[in-house]
Amino acid sequence: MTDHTVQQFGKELRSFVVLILLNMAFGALALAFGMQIIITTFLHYAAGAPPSPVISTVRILTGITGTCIGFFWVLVSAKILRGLRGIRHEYRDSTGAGPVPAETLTGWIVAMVAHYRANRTLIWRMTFISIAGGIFFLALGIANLVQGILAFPAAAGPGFDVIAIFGAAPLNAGIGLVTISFAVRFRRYAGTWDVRLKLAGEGEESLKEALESR
Amino acid sequence: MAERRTSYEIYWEILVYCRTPRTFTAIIGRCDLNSKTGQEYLGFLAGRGFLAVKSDSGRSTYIATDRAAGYTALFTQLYQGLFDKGPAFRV
Repeated sequence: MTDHTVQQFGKELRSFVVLILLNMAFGALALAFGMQIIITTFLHYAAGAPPSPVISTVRILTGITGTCIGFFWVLVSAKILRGLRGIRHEYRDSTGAGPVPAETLTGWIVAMVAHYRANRTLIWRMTFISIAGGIFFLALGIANLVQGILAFPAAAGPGFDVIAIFGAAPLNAGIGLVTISFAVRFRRYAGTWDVRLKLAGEGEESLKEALESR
Repeated sequence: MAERRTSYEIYWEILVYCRTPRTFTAIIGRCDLNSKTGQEYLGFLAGRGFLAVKSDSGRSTYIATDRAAGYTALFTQLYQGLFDKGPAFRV
């Protein structure tokens, strides 16, 4: 039973860590895109060719939104990852050194249960941040598409700017869709652990009886 | 592990750690407890006969009794069952 459980534990730990690392990467992308939007808007002003006040306001608000989402995204991911550091190190060190004793495995499971219990709110919040990030990128993709369609007739032909805008549209939309799929996976993770917490809670009655029996 | 553990999880950690004689300081250090809560947990387990207190040359040590094996086995079965019987997560 232990070997199977060790494998299952390892798979879940790796899956969750990969999910968090990808989230951090996409959070950093949202942060970078947000800042890029703000900076390019100000550069237009510096170059003496400012866009209309409405467009400037929309761009700056979009940039601020992206920056904020990205910042919190990275922050929350890092916080969750930090809590797993000890378990990951122990797991890595022990699995390479022969069979894992049942107590060691149970200790890891206790650590994961405690980690989830402590970070439950944060992990659920992460699902919402991922959705917000996905919507941000999707909106950017749609904005790129609209911008490209509007710029196309005005341009003498498919110039570099128009190609760049049309290229950015599927990229941003794609990142948005991947990000939303992360949110689905975070929900699945949280759902799995909610069931486990419930099962552990139900088992407490038998543990209580074992402690109180004479 | 300074995360949120239940008292049952802490009892299990103490009992597994005390399979060999341990001092109070070693137990609270290993199980991440403060002196007050450490006293409470150890007092409870000793009072219920899960831990025996021995004095070696003026130094008190705690060791898990035979009764502790039943609790740790039940606990192990329950927590490993979370992965064996419960739902699984894959990316």
